[in-house]
Amino acid sequence: MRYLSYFAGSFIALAVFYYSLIFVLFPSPVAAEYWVRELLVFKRDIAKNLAGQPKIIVASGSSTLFNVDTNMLTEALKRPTINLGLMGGLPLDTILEEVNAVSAPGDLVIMALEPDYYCREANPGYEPWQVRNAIAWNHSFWQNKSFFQKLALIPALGANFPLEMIQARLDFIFRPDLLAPRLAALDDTQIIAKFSNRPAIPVEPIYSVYNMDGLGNVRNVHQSNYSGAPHRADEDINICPKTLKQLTEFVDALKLRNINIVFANTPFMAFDGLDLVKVKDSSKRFSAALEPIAPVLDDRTDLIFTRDLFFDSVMHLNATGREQRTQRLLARLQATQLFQQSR
Amino acid sequence: MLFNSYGFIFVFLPITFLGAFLLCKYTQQGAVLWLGIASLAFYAYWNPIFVALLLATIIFNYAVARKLSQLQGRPSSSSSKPLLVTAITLNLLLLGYFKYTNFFIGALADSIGATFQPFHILLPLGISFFTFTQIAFLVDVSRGFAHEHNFARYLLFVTFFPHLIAGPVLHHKQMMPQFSDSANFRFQADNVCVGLSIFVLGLAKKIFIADTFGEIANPIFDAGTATQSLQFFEAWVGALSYTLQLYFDFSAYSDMAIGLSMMFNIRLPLNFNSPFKATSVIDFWQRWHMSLTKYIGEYLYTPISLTLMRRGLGKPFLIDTIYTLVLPTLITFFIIGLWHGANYTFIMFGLLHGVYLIINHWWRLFKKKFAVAKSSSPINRVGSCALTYCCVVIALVFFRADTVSTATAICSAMAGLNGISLPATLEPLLTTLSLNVPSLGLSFNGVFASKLFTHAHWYIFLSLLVGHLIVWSLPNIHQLMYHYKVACEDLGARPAIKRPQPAGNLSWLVWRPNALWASVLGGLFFAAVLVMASNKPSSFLYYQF
Repeated sequence: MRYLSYFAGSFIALAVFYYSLIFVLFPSPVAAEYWVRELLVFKRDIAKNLAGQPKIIVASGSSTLFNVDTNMLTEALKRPTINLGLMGGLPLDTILEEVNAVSAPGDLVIMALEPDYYCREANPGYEPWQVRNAIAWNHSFWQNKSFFQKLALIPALGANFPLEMIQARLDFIFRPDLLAPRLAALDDTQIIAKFSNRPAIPVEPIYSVYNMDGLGNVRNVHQSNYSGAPHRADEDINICPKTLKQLTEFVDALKLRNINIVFANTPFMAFDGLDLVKVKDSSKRFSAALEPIAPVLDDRTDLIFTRDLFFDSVMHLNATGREQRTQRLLARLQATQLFQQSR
Repeated sequence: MLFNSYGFIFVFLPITFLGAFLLCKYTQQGAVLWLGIASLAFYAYWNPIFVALLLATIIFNYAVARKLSQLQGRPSSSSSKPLLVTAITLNLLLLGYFKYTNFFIGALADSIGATFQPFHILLPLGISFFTFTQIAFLVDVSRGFAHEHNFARYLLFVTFFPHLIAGPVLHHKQMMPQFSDSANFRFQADNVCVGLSIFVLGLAKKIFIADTFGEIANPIFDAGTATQSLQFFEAWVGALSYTLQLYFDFSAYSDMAIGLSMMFNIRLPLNFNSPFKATSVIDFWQRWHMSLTKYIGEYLYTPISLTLMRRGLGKPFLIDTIYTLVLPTLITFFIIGLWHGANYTFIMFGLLHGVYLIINHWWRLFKKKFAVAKSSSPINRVGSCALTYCCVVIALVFFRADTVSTATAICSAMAGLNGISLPATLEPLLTTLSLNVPSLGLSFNGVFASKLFTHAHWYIFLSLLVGHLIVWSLPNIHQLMYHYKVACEDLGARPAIKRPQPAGNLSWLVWRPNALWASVLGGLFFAAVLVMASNKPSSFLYYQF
């Protein structure tokens, strides 16, 4: 029994020490996805600048950032189009919240969600980086959680996290210049000012709002680096009941505000042996499942792209791929009655 | 439910443990039933519907066993054979339906050029394990070697949660006496300490080591699936990482199963005994998935071998070995391969091992016939071990790959057929040596030309180095717990498995119930629990079989 006492004692002592450090050191400008905060501020600002005129909003996780060129759409359709591609790690709630915030009566929303968004309830909970963001900049998220929810969230940060917090605190006191970019990302005015005053769009293909144009499209994505497995276009997208309900309520609420909405597919990668008949069937099943809520704009068979058109992930096209995908989206938009109605 | 999940560690295990030992105070039978029901709940967590299937097979096999027991004492006119054959056939049909329907119909459709849309058949977890366990029980009941008249004990024998999903394959002879021994239904702090320590070591092995190698191996095999051309070093890193992933994953699972079982005073059979220290493939199979090897040997290889041996009697040596060695080995390993999964890759894995074993046996016969002296020099041992390891690594490429063509592509890359990409810094050196670089298939695009890895190169190489050092130089759990009987082979007067004490300078590693070990393992447990939170719990590789 003595052995078990020592075992439990060391476990509990370490746990108390670990948790205490994190609670005491909150908030802390640790390394986090500050660019996500900048992205959210920046995209809301684009919408603010276009207020009063009917617009098109293409929304999703990060795929739209790379897969749709809203400049082309704006020019061809003579209607401002915002690229509301955000970040694939954000929960569906956040994506829907942002769409809700930037849309206005008369707008058309195209939801080109990544396939896994349709069933994220299978993996509820938060990713470690989301908790990290909460401690770094998303303080309201953190403060809205109960003590026990916080206890449950903290372990996701890993064993080294208290050390990172200590370092960030020390840097804040002794070397604040090191933290300047992080601290700047906490201030909306600074973000917008920095975007407006940037000398030029960076040349490197970086994930940053400062690498985007005025409509929110990411730039400098000419390369083709992706070498992983394709996402199978011939397999069904799992649409979970809870997500379906959430999307239904969301679409209904938008319709009540006189905002039109359509769903769209994301691009898929071609590979040897891909059976287009299966792709077509799968696409039909996807459309049929969403049809009661809102129409699906395109067919998956139109969205099969070769590997060389992908940038750095199976969800991101490069500049050439994006141009092709946008042309197809444009053709579909021009053909659809929805767009005519919402003009 | 996964052993490496919060639900299991902090809810299921404490409730089951407390419930079992509280009930033990009043009724041993109640505790057995409690553990059986808890094990069903453990299974139901994954898919409640299949609990009905599991229970149905248990009730069916129990009823058949009872009937077979009754027929034992009767005259030969009421032979038990037809009943046994029917029961085994039904068990195999059930396994076949869930595991092999799509595979065999698909293969048939392919052979006649037809298209086949696979049926949506969900594979019940652990079906191979619980089917094999019950078939062995029926066979032994019909032979008169076993009988069980207590349903609760039979239920627990089949479902006991530490082994239910991924083994070891239990033998009633090893387990039933333990389930009926009243001493095992008393709280024993020593066993809890030993069991908990083994469990924590297994958990750490899974979380800190096995999953790390999975992260390195997966992109390589994914790229192989995507028919991407791999280079020499990439293919080797993928193959070695997967080998270590499977080793640590299976070893971790086996340790955790032994540890959990030990907490309940039950010793499971040893399933894993440092297999990569094997100096031949024969030796490897005596150390890897030992319970399966033993099972297959007893219930498959021996009957096949005896049947075929009669045909080879009096024939020339070559014909004789075909009957006595080649055919039984290939048939057995074909089935072992197929047991692992309904895919040609698993069949290839099995057949490769079958061929290795045949060569290994022939080599032994050759040495015996020509009186080749047996060398026990370290060089010989290291060489044998390295050769065995290479054979196993190559077979495991088939085990991991999605298709045979992916596996052969990776093996080709391992053989250097896609060229060898070296660091650019070596180019001047090799050019100075006047080597005809292109004709050697060398290029200088970096060691990992395809940029498949998310980790730094030094991290990958260091991980592989540390992983192999652990495999080859550290004692296994059985040795670490040298002073304790942790496996059922340790029970009885003569242990069934030799357990060398860790050599001199590693003897300090032998576990003792002192404050130092307790604090270290308590800390390790906390670290493991933290990492479990930041990584999604990953299933054990053997869960899919």
